Amino acid sequence: MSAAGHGGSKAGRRKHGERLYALVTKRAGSQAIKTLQAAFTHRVEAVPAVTRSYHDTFDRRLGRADSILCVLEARGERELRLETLTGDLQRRLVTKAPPAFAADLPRGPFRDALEPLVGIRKLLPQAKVVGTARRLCVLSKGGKTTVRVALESWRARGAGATTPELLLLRVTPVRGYAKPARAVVRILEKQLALEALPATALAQMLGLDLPDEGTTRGWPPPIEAGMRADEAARVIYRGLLATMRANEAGTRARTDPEFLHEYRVALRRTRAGLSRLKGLFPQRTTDRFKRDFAWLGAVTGPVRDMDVQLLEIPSYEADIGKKDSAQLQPLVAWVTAEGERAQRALVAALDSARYERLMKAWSAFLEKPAPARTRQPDAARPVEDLARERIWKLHRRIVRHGLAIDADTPAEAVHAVRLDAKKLRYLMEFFRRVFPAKAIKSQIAALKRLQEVLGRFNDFEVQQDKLKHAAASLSDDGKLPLEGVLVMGQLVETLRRRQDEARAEIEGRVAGFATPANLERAARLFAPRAQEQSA
Amino acid sequence: MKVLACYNIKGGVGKTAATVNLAHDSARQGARTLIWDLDPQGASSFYFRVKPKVKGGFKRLLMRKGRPENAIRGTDYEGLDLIPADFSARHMDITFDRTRKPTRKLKRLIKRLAKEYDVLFLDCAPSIGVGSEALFDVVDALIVPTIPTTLSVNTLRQLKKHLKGRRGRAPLVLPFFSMVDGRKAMHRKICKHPEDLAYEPLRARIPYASTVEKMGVHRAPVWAFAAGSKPAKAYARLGKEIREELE
Repeated sequence: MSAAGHGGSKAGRRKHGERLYALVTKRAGSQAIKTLQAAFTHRVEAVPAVTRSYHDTFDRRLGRADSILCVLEARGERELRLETLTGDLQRRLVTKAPPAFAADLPRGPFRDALEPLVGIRKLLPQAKVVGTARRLCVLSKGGKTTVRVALESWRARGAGATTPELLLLRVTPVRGYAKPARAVVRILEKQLALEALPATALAQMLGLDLPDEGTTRGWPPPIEAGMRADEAARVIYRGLLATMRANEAGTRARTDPEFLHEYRVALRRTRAGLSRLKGLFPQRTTDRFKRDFAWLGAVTGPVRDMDVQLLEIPSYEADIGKKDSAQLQPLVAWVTAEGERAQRALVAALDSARYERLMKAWSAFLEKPAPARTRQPDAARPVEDLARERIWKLHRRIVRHGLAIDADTPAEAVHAVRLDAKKLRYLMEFFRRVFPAKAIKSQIAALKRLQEVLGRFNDFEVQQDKLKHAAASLSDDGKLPLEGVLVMGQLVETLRRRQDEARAEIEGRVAGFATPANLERAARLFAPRAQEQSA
Repeated sequence: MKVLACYNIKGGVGKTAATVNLAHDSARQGARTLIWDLDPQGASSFYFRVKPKVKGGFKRLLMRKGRPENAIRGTDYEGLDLIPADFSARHMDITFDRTRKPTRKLKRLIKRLAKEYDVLFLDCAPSIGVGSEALFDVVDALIVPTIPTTLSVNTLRQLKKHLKGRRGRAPLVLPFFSMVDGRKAMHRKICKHPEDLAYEPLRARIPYASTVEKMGVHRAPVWAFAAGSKPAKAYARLGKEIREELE
């Protein structure tokens, strides 16, 4: 295309922007080209078959930032183009292989532009078009190209299906040559009565602009104050089940670690619900699902562990410096192999009869209407009552145990507080809609700050364990040279130091969470009414 | 944005050829690249078939109300734009001399261009005066094409001496051997002992080749009409080295 897209500013884009026309027949296209040929000094270029495949992350991070990654292949050359959804070029890079992750790209302006948008997400193909083009370059007196008019014919290729041919006329002015571009547009629009398509037309046709709802469904759960507690719980669980189902295919295919992560978050929330929201369903039913979901947590865990370890590798490399980063190769190979093995086990579990039975039974249970009469003590209570009671109980426990943490507290006790905080977070989010939006938001934010440091403390410990385990396993197989052992030791040491740093922060964060003002706000929001009155 | 000036006190050493080909390579690598043709002869503009004219002249570009964006012309190559030469740039030294705080003005202009570009190549006229002084203040690196002859080696020494004597920050100086003719004993000798140069030269050497001269016939960078040729490859290597040096 041209310099047209380089304008970073919106004004620039409007000024230099290209125009797109849809043509009904091939004849209309040739007629347009012929008319332009007669009107301007020109040169004709044939552009051979071009393939454009559009990539984005599964959660459409690029699309949401009005961008798309296009891999353009023509004449055996491959080029990456970061474009806006209106087709304006932002960055390009000639490359041999399209990247699966932004981190696969060489360092440089292209990666710098792409990486903040997609982060660690995998780039997945979204749409593909193949086509040919005939290009007319309108020339200045000096033989300089001032406008490019391309007659393009595209076919979109999806899974096995090819769409009918799409004929487009694309007018791309070269920057600084607005006048000839205006003349071309005049001929097309006045003389040939063509109508320019909206700038996002192509993205729309390819479905690149679809707003993505994310793979998390129904969050926060749509429950209202006054709902029966067991009914509200069903709504919550249904949303979580839908999220799990929505991420199942991605989890199996393992195209992006995020699918499994979302799946496991929904699973964990379900389990937290089952353990913290007692008294709604018959104990036997709850126990059965708790058992089965625990099994599911166990079979999906190892793959996630390996995914997390792979994601940590770049930070390990940064820690030990460029010189020694080769020493991490055995670790990368080991984690990759272990991850693949765990993935096979995971897929087998998802294919098992037990899994199918579990999902069917759970779904059937959730679809059942709440019984009119129930023997469960809390089932028929209004949901906000139950929410307050359970949240408040956990909240007080966290404050009590949290304030007890000092330098001598064993790590297990700290972890117990972390787990409670996590469960409290889930509860607050489950019932978010029954509380005033602003008040619950600030409560969640306060809890988040506490969770951050507890999570960090735990992460560093888990990472140390994982590294030690990997090192032990590798050296048992004789695959870890001495230098590698030393590097791993150094990493473990770094992690331990960071864990100590996190540990030192915990007391302060607990104090920040349990300030009198925050506790008062929490009490106003969560303390059950009766208790409040008596107090 | 990185600002690179192709500069040599001496003329006819392949500055414009270097600017055009290095800038083209930079754009091919994906950097949004702009050339500012500061040579009143307008050779860079000629190679890209752009009319060597800036509305309001060179002086206006530096002024607060001058809008450099409007002077920018797209070349025939994607990602590569150009601010054409203007004959008034022959008075560059006088313009800078009469302008108050020329460095600050240049900096303001560059800041504006940095919104849209990653790399700015300056194709400078051969001279050393008030104009080049202001440029030394703003560029990240001076790319100095050097013909392997005694005289060129001397000018490099002069440049070093001069840069040492002036106040302010000294730009990175990256000389490279240009128009290298393997048939000439002197070329071979000087190339063999790069350590004798005032600055360590880049490894890539641009050969003396008719392909480079043919740029004037094709009015295009060498890559566009002789992609596989030795000079095209040499410029690509040179571009890579420069990028590495700047990192």
